[in-house]
Amino acid sequence: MTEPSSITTAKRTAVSGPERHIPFLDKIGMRRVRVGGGEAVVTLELQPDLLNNHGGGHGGVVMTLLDSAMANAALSRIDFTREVVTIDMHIGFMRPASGRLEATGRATGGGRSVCFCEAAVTDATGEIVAKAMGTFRYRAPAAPADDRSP
Amino acid sequence: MDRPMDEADMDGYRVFARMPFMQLLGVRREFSHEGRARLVIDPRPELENPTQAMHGGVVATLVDVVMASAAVSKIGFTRTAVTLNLNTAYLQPGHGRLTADGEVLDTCGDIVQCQAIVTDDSGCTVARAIGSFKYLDRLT
Repeated sequence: MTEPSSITTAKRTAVSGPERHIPFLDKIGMRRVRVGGGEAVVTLELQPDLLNNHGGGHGGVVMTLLDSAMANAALSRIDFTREVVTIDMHIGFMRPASGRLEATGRATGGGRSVCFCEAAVTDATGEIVAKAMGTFRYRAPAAPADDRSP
Repeated sequence: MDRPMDEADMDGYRVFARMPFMQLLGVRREFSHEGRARLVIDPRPELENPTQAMHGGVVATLVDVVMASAAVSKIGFTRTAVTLNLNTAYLQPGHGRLTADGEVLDTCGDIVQCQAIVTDDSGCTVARAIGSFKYLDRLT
């Protein structure tokens, strides 16, 4: 898994697996650069509508990147055989975000049902913008909407 | 606040409506007053995760903004606030309209501690958060 994820019709309809479609991440223009072996890198170019009133990248955008990097890292640890949900996430915001952002997530521990992760967001100069620790829970892969047990 | 809001304070109050990312998400502010604030967001397919619930990044955004809004309302919008630290616990998937309530817990100099809770229309708690913010002077 080294190619950037791009959106095709087939991928758009995928509900599970590494190429599953995540509407909100599409909306903000996030791309996955690589994922595998418990590590993931995602990237995003800040656009005007992703900014806050200080002209920096909104904290919500930064947190979304961190969440996604960690979730992908957690999923790659089990080869995307199941889905993950975030249980909790702790973020420290170190400096204003600008330009192209890159988040690297790493699975640092856990077992069959829970995964602990860390992630950091850097800007184009390599400075750390924010760091995160997160706890994720593995769950059954998502079924198509019309194919769910009650 | 021991004085009425002046034009600069009103401008601080209106910052929320101008924030690009809030417009992108379609977040509405119901109130922001004396250390408490409430935001509401309606579900849209483009805000979802693969399980058709609100994406965790959207929920994190809600708690961040509602706490910052509560923080600046505490000082009558005379200054702005930046997030230092944010801890969010996700308790239930967010389905339907979500309401975020934020309040100031304590202030110490420039630092303000807040908490937030996100609920759905059935009253179920979707997420809880605690955050620390720093007051900054507004850019003039």
